[in-house]
Amino acid sequence: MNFSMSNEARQLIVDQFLAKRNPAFNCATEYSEEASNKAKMFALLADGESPLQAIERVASGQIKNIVQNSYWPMQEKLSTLYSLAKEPMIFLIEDFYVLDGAAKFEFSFNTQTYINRFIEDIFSDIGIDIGSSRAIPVRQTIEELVINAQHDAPVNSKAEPNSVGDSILIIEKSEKLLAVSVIDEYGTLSIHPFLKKIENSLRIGAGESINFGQGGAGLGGSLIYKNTDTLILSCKPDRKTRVTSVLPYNMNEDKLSYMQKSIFVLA
Amino acid sequence: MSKCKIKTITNNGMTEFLFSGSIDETLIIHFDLFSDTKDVVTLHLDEVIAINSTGIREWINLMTRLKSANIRLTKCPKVLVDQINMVKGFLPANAGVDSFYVPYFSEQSGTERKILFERNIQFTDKEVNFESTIVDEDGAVFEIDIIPDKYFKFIRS
Repeated sequence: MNFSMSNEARQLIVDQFLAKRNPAFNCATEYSEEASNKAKMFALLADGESPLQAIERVASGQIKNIVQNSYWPMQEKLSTLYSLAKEPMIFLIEDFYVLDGAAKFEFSFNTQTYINRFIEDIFSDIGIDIGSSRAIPVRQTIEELVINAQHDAPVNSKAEPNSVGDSILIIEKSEKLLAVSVIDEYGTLSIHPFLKKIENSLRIGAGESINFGQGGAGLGGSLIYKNTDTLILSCKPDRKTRVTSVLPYNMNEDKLSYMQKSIFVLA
Repeated sequence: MSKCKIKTITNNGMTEFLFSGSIDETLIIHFDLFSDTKDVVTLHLDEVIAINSTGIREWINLMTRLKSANIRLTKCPKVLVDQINMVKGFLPANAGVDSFYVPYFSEQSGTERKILFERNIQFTDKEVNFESTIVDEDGAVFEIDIIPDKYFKFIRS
């Protein structure tokens, strides 16, 4: 299994999208500080960047989006990103779906939802065996996204608790991929600090970062990121947050180790 | 309500602890069961189904609480072995694993077997002896469903 894509192949894809002449979609296959200073790079079509390198680039604000070929193929994810480049806030709408042709499941929850039973119901509905070892990444990802919306999001919210509606969990399931999205109505996610915590956790080790105190150590985010092919984040402050993890499922660890990470920040 | 249940059992006069359910922030409710000791503290873990980020933090706090004990972990499920390998402090210097599960998968039947590896049988302090494939009573072939260098890292390090 090899997702490596040559510079020429990536440039062909870039050219296809640049031909659509959308000034908001400034993408390239190589990062250049000079070019980035003139017009912030919207997307870097990279190859061979490690999970740490990929998140470093986006967490620092060097680029907005990094796109690498993986289980979610580059062409398809770039199409999704292109549609979002025109209207980024459309991502916050629950009717926006990430995977073409996937089966869709929607669940609502709030701060009082009993998470274990909630997750058991989800797995039953989507038809994945919750007890299998191969389901661990999916369970972890769902649980950590829900925890973020249940516990972390409300902490910094200015809203009165009973004025905020239920959060929504959406699962899109295609033959090989899941897109797990959580949308909350708190709008308290600080995206770059969130990514920075994950970066720190990767850099110094999850155990060392665990005592970084209030707001979490990035451990939950690290678990999500570890399992994820593509992470998509957007936040309208004090209104809404949506985080989507696209990840393969029912796959052995050897195959998962070939995953190249992509991150989209739509804010 | 705690999602993690801990039952105490007595074995040869020693108190041992049987964990079940999902390890999360509510693990802290059970801390009164544990006080630091120089004795052996055995944790049976095969009924643990999940651990989340808040559970990892409380587990490490529990390990700190037992800093003088000789902690033995038995029947560790994969979800905990993954954390042992990934999170520093999850298995501190005063703790050891006496048995753990290794998943094997059959692509033909789409089913899984979880094989128990035991200390001094399949592994010692320094090495692991494992079969890459096993065959069940019906002749179905199951392949080891982990990356050995990564999964067995805690043994070899």
